[in-house]
Amino acid sequence: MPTRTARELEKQPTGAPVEEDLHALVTLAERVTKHPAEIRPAEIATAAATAQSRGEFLDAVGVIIGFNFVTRVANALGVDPEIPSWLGRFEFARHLARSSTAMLLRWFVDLSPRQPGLRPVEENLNALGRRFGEIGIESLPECFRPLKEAPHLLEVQRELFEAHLKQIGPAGKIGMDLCAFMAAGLTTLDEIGAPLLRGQVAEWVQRHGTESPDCLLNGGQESPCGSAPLDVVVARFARDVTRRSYSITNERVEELRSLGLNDERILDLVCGIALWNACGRLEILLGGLPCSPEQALGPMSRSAQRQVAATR
Amino acid sequence: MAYIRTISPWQARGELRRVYQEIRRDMVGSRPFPLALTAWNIMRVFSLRPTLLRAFERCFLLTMWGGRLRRQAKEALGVTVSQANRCEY
Repeated sequence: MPTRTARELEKQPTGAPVEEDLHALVTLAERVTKHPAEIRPAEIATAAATAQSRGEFLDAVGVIIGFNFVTRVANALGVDPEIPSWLGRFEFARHLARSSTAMLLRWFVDLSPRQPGLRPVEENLNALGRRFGEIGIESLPECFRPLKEAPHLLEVQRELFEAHLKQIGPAGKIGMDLCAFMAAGLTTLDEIGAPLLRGQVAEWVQRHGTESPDCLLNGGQESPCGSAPLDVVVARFARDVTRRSYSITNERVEELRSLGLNDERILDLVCGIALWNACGRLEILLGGLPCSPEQALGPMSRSAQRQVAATR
Repeated sequence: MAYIRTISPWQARGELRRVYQEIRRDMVGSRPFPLALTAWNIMRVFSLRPTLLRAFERCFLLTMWGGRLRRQAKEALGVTVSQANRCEY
């Protein structure tokens, strides 16, 4: 991308000099990132209509949700820029460092399109369905089904969920704290306004929330420091990572640590929140996507779309 | 410095080292490139969970290299979301 365009996008994305189809996608990306609950299906339909093809629109959705995941992880865990911040004080040095990095990437990294190996679509859908079943969500959330048309994005979702909810041991125990994952999910989806996914998570919380003695949803009775209950702190953390991840400081992470979460669990928690942020936006973006006759998404997806439209 | 502990390529052993090596192979092929230069800070933050790191890297490749949308559009969308989330990284 030309440096000037990149700078304009950094300053004001919707005012950057880009092509019409890209302008519509950039506007949608900004809206769904900042105000997901306010997005109307018509906005999504407009952006989808200006895209070159339905496939390209789905690719754009993949990039939008991917960056919603990774920027939240980077903000919430204080990931340093590759170019040291002290260099930012000297514009010339910063420019030089950026140019050298870009040149290094162009020389050594192959940026041309590749087709990484993909597993069959049905296998990926079944695997996702099984994974959700294992954590107690019986039906695969609707937001994943339209990804049949974008197999590489379906593969992405499978990769992330499998890694996140990784089974360990023959008993099939979930690798991360499932209660934390679901509690964070409920808060996150409340903020984003993804009704179908939120409904499934809320149902799970009602069924399982208080069963486990060490569940975060039981009122945080085991909170070791005796201060704010862990569930409240986790919910507040999830809300802030969702609303304004840039405001998360080391002190907030220390607060989690002081309540007994080690670094591995903090990483799990942040990734979980970021994953729910991505999935909630996936539901919003694909729920508002018009269904063309030749690329029907299936009856369940259409009914899901009607439900999404009805709740707004 | 990240808010959580990270494991650098120099300290990495076992599965994590293998994942760092896979990332280097995906980025620069078989060129003799220092491991540290392809293990970016955003990747190191996942280092406590090598499985997550491997999934993240594969997802990055699939999203940015796969599909039909042109590269420039993908970069523009990435910059837009980063700007909207005020992500300095």
